Amino acid sequence: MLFDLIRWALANDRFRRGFVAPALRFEILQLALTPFRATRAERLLAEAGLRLSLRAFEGREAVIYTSLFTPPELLHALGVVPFGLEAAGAGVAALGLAPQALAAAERAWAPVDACSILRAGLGVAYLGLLPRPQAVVATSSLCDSTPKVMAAAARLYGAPFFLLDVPYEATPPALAYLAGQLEDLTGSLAAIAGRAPDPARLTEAVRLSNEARGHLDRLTAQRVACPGVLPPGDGQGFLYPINLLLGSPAGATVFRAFAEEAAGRAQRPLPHVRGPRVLLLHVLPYFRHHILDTLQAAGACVVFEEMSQVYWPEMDPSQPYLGLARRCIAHFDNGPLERRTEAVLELARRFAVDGALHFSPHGCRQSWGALQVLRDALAAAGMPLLELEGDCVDARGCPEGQQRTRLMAFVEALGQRTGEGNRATDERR
Amino acid sequence: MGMNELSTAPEPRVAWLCSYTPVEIVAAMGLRPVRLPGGAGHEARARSILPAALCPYLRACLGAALDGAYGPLAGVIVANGCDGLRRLADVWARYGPGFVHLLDVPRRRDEAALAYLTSQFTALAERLALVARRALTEHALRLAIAERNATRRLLGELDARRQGQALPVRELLSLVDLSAEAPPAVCNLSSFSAPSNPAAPPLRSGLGWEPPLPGAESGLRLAEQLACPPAATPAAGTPVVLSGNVFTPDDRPLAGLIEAAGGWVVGDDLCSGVRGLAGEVTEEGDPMQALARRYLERVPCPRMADAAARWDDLADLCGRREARGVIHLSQEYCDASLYELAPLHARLERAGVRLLHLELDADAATPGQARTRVEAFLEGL
Repeated sequence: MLFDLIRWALANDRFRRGFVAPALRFEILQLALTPFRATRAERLLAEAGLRLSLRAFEGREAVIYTSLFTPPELLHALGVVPFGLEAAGAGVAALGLAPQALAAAERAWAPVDACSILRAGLGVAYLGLLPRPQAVVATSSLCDSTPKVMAAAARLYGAPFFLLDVPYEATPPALAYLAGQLEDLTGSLAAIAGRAPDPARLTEAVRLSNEARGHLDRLTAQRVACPGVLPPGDGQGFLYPINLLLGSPAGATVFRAFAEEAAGRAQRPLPHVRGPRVLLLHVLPYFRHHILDTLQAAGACVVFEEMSQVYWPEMDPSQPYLGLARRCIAHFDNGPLERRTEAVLELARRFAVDGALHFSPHGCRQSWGALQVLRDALAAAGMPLLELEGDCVDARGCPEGQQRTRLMAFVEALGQRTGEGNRATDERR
Repeated sequence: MGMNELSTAPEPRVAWLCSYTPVEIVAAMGLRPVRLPGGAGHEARARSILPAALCPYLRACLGAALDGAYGPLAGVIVANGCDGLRRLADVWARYGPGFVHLLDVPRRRDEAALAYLTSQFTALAERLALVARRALTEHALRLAIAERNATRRLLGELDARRQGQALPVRELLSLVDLSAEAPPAVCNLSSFSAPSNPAAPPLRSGLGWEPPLPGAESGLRLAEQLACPPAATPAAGTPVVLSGNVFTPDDRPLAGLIEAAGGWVVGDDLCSGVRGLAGEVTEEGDPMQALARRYLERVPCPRMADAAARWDDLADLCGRREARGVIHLSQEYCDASLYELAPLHARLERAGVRLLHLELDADAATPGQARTRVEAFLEGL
C-alpha cells in the first residue's frame, strides 16, 4: 500500500515537483545542519548526489540516463542532468527495496540470473519511480548487460538510445572511432536539450575533471603513506563521484575535501594499521552488509579499493573528445585481463597488501570469468585471493553466516602467513 | 571419426568461434580456419578456469582445446563478441594452446565503425602473417573472398529449398558445419550446387581432406545425396523457424526432437546457421574494406547496437516461409540474447508468430523437459 502510494507520488508530475523535490531539498538542509553526522567531505558528496537527484526529479532540465562509464563531463558541459541507472539500482538496494524492483524487472522478462544491480535499476524504472529521461546513453563497457538494460529503459520511456562503443585498446584508429562518437553524442544531446554545444564549457568540464583527478591522486598517495587517513573501505563510495560528478564543480570540490581531510588526519597521530592488509577488488554489496565489519573484527584492515584507483591519464582540455576517449578505453576492466591483473599487482605492491578480497556479484559474467587468472597472478606474487559470492543488491542472496566464516578463516590464514600475526605484520611495515 | 583427426590437415589450423570472424583473411594466408564445435565431455578442466555461470559452449571449447581434442592448433581468433568470448581470450592466452588474437568488432554499424573494423581486419592480417610467415596479397584475399562467396551462395540455395522440401534441419546445419571446417574446394564442388547432375563425382575424391567431425561427415553424405536428383519428399509438420546463437553439434538432438514432435524447420536465424552466412562480400574495390563492410552489414547479432534490425528480418523470414512459431535457442547465460527476448516476443506477436525460448547447456541437457515444452508449443500453434 505504502509502496503503491510512493509509486503514484513519483509518477505524478505535480506531486513530484510539489512534494518530492522539496523533500529532497529538506534532506540537503538536514545534511547541512548536522555537522556531526558525517565529515565535511562526506556531507559534500551526499549533497552533490542529492542535488543531482533533485534536478532530475524536478524535471526542469533535460535528464539523461547514463550507464556507469559514460563520461559525465560531456553532460555537465551541456548543462543536462546525468542520472545513473546503476546508481538507482544501488539506491533501492540501500533502501531495502531491491526485492520489489527485481520482481518488476522479472515481470518484464529481464533474465533472472543476469547482473542484479542492472536489473534493480531497470526494475525501479518499470515501477515508475524514476524521473523520465529525454535520452539514454550507455557504454559497451564493461559488460553485455549494460547496453541491453539501458536500451530496455529507453524503450520503456520512448527515449532515444545512444550507444558509445568503447574499443578494446587505445590504438589510434580506436581513439579516433570513440572520439568521433563522443563528439556526435554531444551534438545529439545538445539538440535534445535545445542548446548548442559550447566548446568553452566542455574545456572547463575537462579542466574540472582533471582537478578532481589530481585531488584523488593526492588522496591515494596519502593512503599509501598512511592507510588510516580514510576509513577502511570508504573509497568504494568513490564509484559514484568518479562516474557521475567528474567535470562538475561539485566533483572537484568533493575530491578536494576528501584530500584535505586526509592531509589533516595525516598530521595527527593515527592508530597503527594492525593486522593483515587487504585489497578490495571489484565491488561490495550496496545494501547494509557485514563484510567490512567482519574483516575488522577478525583483525584485518582494508587498505585500498580497486574501484577508487586513478586509472586514467590527465586529459588535454584542448582535445576533450580525445582525452575522454582515452579515459573510457583506459579503464582497467576494459581491454585484456592482463591490464587489470597488472593494475591489481601494482596496487598490491604500493599498498603492501597481504591478500585480496573479491566480492563476486551474481550474474557478473565478466568479473567471474576473470577470477582464475587474477587468483593465479596474485598467488604467483605470494598473495591469496578470497572470493565471496553473493547478490549485490538483494540481501536474501548473500549468505551472511557462510561469508563470516570464510572471512574469518581467510584473515586467520593471512595472519599465519605473515608470521606472528598482527604484531609481526606491523613490524614488517 | 574423432576430433583429433583434424590433425591430418596439411595447413596450420587457426580456430575461430564467433561468426564475425573474417575467415577469408585466414584462408588467404594459407591457413585453415576451423570453427570450434564445442566438445561435450571435455568440460572438466575448463570448469576450474571458467565459472559455471558462463556460456557452456565456450567452456566446452576451452575444455576440448585443453584436452587436445582438436589436435594441434596454431592458435585461435576470438572476436570480442561478448563477455564470455572476452574472458575466453584472456584465459586461453594463459592456459590454452597456440596464439590468441582478440579481434575487436564494433557494435555500431556506421561509417566510423566500418573504418575501425577495417583497421582491425588489417591488424589481424598482420598478426597472421607472423604465423603463416608470409604477407597477405590482394590476389589471395580476392580469391578467398570469391571462394567463400560461392560457399555462401550454395548454402543459400539449400536454405531456400527448406520450405517445400524434406530437408532435415540437422542435415543442413551439418553442411554449415562443413563450410566452417572444410576447404572451399570441398564445399564448392559443382555437385554441391547441381543436384540435378547424377554423374557428379563423389565429393571426397582426390581432395586430400577428411571430414573431422561427425557432423561434417553427415554433411558430406547429404552433399553426395544432393548430387542426385532431389527426392520429391514434401515437407510435413508445423512450420517453425529456429533463432538464436550457437547451436552446436552437441545440441543437435534438440533439432531431432522438434521434428519428432511434429515441427518442421523451414528456416533459421542461428549464428551457427544461415544468419552467420548471409550476405556476400563485394568483389570490386578495396577487398579489405569490402570484407569489413560485409561483416558489419550482415544481419546483426544480439550484441549489436541495432539488434532490432534482426527482429524485423526474423519476422519477415517467418512471413516468407509461412512459419507459425519461432523456437529461440540460446546458450545458457547469454545475456545479450536473454535481454532481447521481451522485445523480440513483442515484435513477433505483432506479426502473429509465437515464440518459445529454450536454453542450451552442453553440460546438462534436459531432453525430457525440452520435449514437453516443444510438444506443448507445437500443439498450441
